[in-house]
Amino acid sequence: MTTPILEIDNLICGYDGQAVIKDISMSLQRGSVVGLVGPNGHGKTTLLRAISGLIKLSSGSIRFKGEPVHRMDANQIVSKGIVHIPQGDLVFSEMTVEENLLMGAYLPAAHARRQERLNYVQGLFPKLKERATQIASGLSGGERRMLGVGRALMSSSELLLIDEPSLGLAPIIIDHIYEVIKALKTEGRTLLVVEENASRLVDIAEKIYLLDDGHIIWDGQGDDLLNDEVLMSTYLGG
Amino acid sequence: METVTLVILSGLTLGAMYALSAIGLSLIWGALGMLNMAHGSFLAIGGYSCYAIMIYFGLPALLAIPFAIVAGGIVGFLFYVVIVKYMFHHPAFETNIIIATIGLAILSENVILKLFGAYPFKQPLTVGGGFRIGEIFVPYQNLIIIAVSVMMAVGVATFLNRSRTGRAIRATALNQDAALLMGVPIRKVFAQLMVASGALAAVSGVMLSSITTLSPTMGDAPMTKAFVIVAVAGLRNVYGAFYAAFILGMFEATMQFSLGVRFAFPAMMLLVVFTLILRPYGIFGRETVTRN
Repeated sequence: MTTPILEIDNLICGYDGQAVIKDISMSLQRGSVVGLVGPNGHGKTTLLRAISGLIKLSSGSIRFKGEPVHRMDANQIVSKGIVHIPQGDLVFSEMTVEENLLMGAYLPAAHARRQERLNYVQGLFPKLKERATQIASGLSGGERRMLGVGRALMSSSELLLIDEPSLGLAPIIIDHIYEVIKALKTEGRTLLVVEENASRLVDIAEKIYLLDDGHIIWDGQGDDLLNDEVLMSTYLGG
Repeated sequence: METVTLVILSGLTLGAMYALSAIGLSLIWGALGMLNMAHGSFLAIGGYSCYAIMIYFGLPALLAIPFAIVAGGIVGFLFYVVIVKYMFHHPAFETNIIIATIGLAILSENVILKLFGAYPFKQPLTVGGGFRIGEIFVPYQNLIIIAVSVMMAVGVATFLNRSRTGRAIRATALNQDAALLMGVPIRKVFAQLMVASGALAAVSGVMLSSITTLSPTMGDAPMTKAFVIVAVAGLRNVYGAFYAAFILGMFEATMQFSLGVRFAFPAMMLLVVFTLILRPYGIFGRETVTRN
C-alpha cells in the first residue's frame, strides 16, 4: 500500500460558524477514481470547496502527497496540482471559449505547454474547437460543462475534483462527459467525483463514500451500494 | 466652415480629456467593482507631482512625467495596502469602498492644499505653438492630449485582451472564485490594478493640468464626467469608454456652439439619461457587474 495522494483527517468546516462537514476522514489512492454520493445539501460541495481552499477549515487537516495544504490559499493549492471543477461550471461568461481554456493554463508550468494542452482538450471535446471564438455566455448547458471540464484539463493537475458532472444534462451529453472521465482515469489521473446519481459512478469508481448530514456513513464498492436496498432507498431515492 | 473645424477641434480635445480621465477609473471599476471616489485626487496628485519635480528640482519634463507616474503608482499601492486589501473580501465591498474612498479623497485634497496652497498654478509642462487650418489656430498641446489618450486606450485594451496577466485580470473581474481555481493570485491582481490605475491617472492628471490649471480640486469635474462616461459605455470595456468619451465630447462641443456653454452639460446629461433608459448596461455593456 503506497501513501495516499490525498488524506483528509477529522475535517470540520462550514459557513458562518455553522458546521456543514462534521468530522470527515478519508483518503484517495493515486490513480483511483473515488465517488462521493449522498442527498442534496449534506456537504458534498462544501467538502470539495474545503479541499480546493475556497473555504477555510474549522479544524482537521488535508494533506496532498504528504504535504499539508489546508492553510494555503486556493490559488496556491491549484499550483500544487489539485484542480476543482465547480458546480455550475463558473465559466468566464464574457470571454471566448478559447480564452476560457487558456485561463485553465494560467500557471507558468501549464502556460509553457498551452498549445499542446489546447490541442489535447480540443481533441477530447471537438465542440470546443468549433466554438473557439464564441463568447462563453452563448453556449448551451452541455457545452458549458464541456468547457468547465476542458478548462480544468488545460492545467497540469494530478487530482481532479469534479462536482456533479451530470447535473441538468441530457443523457447523451452525460455519456460523453463520462467517457472523458474514463479516459482521464486510464491516463492515470486521480479523480474525486461528486454525484447524486450513484449508478453513473459504479462502472468507474474504485470506492464510493456516502455522505449524510456532514458525516461519512458508508464506504465501499459501488456494486455493494447499489445492491443495498436500505441505503439506496433511504439516501439516494432509489 | 470655420465653425465646423472649431467644433471638431474642441470636441476632440474634450473627448480626449474625458477619455484620459475615464481610463484609470474604468479599469478598476470594471475589474474590481470598485468605484474609486478618490480618482479625482489621483489626477491631482499626478499633476502636482509633475509640477513639483519641475519647479523644485528643476528637472526637465521628460523626467518629470516618469516621476509623476511612479508617484501615482505608489499612491495606488497605498490605497490597496490601507483599505482595499481589508475590504475586498466582504460582500458589501462595492458600497463600503465608495465611503472609504470619499474619505481618502478629502484627505488627499487637504494634504495638497496644505502643501501647495489653494492658488491655482499653471502646469509648467506645456508645449507651445501650433498651426492654422484656415482661420483656426490648432495648438500642439491639444494634439498631444488627443494622441496620449489614444495611446493609453490602445495600450490598456491590448494589455487586457492579449496578455496572460490581462486575461487573468478580466477573469478576476468576471468571477473571483473561478479565477482563484485557475491559480490566479487575486490579491496580487488587485494590488497590480491599483498601481496601474494610479499610474494611468497620474499621466491623465499631467495632461489635464497642462491644458487647464493645477488646483487641489482639479480632478473633481473630470472625475464626474468620467463616471458618466463609464456608465454610458458599460463596465469592462476600455474601447467602449474611449468611444463614449469622444461621442460625449463632440456632443458637448456641438451644444456649446449651438445652445451656449451654460446648457451644454445639462444637454449632455439628458442624452446620458435617455441612453441609460434604453440601454441600462451602457451602450457597449453586456450585463451588470456581479461579484461571486
